[in-house]
Amino acid sequence: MTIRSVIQAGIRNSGGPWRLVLQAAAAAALVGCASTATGPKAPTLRADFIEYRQTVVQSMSMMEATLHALDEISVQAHRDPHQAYADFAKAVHRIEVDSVKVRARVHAMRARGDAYFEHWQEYLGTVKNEQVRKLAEEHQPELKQSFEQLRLAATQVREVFRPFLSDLQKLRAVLEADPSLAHIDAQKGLILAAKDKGRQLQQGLDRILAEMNSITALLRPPAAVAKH
Amino acid sequence: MRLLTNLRPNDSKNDDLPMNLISSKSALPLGLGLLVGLAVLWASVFYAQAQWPGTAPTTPMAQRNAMNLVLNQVSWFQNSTRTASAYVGGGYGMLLQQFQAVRNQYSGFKSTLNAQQLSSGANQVAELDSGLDIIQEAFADYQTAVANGQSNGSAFSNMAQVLNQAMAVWVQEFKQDCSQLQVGW
Repeated sequence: MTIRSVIQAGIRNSGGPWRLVLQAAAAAALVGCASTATGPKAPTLRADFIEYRQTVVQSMSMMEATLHALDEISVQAHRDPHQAYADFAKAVHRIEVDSVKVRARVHAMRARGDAYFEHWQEYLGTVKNEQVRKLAEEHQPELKQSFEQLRLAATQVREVFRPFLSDLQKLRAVLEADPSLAHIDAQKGLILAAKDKGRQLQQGLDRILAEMNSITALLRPPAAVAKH
Repeated sequence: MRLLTNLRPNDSKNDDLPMNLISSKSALPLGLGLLVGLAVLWASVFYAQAQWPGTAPTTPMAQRNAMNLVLNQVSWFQNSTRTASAYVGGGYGMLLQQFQAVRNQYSGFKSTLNAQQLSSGANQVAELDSGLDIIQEAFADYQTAVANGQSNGSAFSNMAQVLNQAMAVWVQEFKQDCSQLQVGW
């Protein structure tokens, strides 16, 4: 006798509450089977978003610090710029290391193209929170537009980052031996070019953050909005 | 093997019956046995094709092994970045070689992921791929820095530190992704 036949016999023979209990157990088992909790899972969109947002915010403050260090070289040029140069070299080193995460993200967005965001959209379609799923369905056109804007901003960041970093590295190399007023003055063009690229980069990061905030607002259930 | 055993008359439960009855009653089981045998044979051929030499197995054990190989290689690489300047010739070539070894181990690791992991972790895998490409840029940056007038010692020391710290960021992501994708479970 198989397990199924035992259960079926139990259901047939039992009346009243037992029948209901067995039916409820069967229903619970089916619901359990339908969930995707056992399979390998990508990070939830929420976790992914929080981490991504954090990376973008960190990159923005890193940019602030780097551009400030760059400014200080010019400001301190007619005094003793050695300390300003040392701080600048440290800032460049930090940006070389700390930018890896955000650059890897924007590069991956380019490499995967639309598939990167389709992955997020697919997740939104299967999210367990019914309110969020409903909101995602309602705001599908706006979300699509935000994903597109996010992709464009990421492209801007990706395209400007490398030339910006190259300018900084060149400046660090050129000024290392003698960070004097004459040398700094000779690199005025490079400093201005680096600043310009830095500002473009900041704009790109600002745009990414703005789009992420829009997406978060679109998917926030009304109760959470009221709480805020 | 299953095909042959199914055809053996001794395996039949009806072997105490007279011959004429066996022939008439075992016609259906024999046919079914033949079908089952063919199905098993087809499945074994299909499995053999799926496990063709050159493709890595995707068992949890293989995944765990491949993951540990990546982690070990990263660890060796990070140790090398700390000691490379003491090597004859500056250790640039040695670091580059070690970095390629990390890439190779990571490539081997990816080949152990199953279809579901590759699909649900496609963004994460793309980010890890890009991360290694970005870290590799440090080698070219070192050469550019020297060409731009930076001292060899300072440029090399900077490259080694960038490689070490950037690899720490990468391996942290790698571990997190492995955990989320249930690698080796």
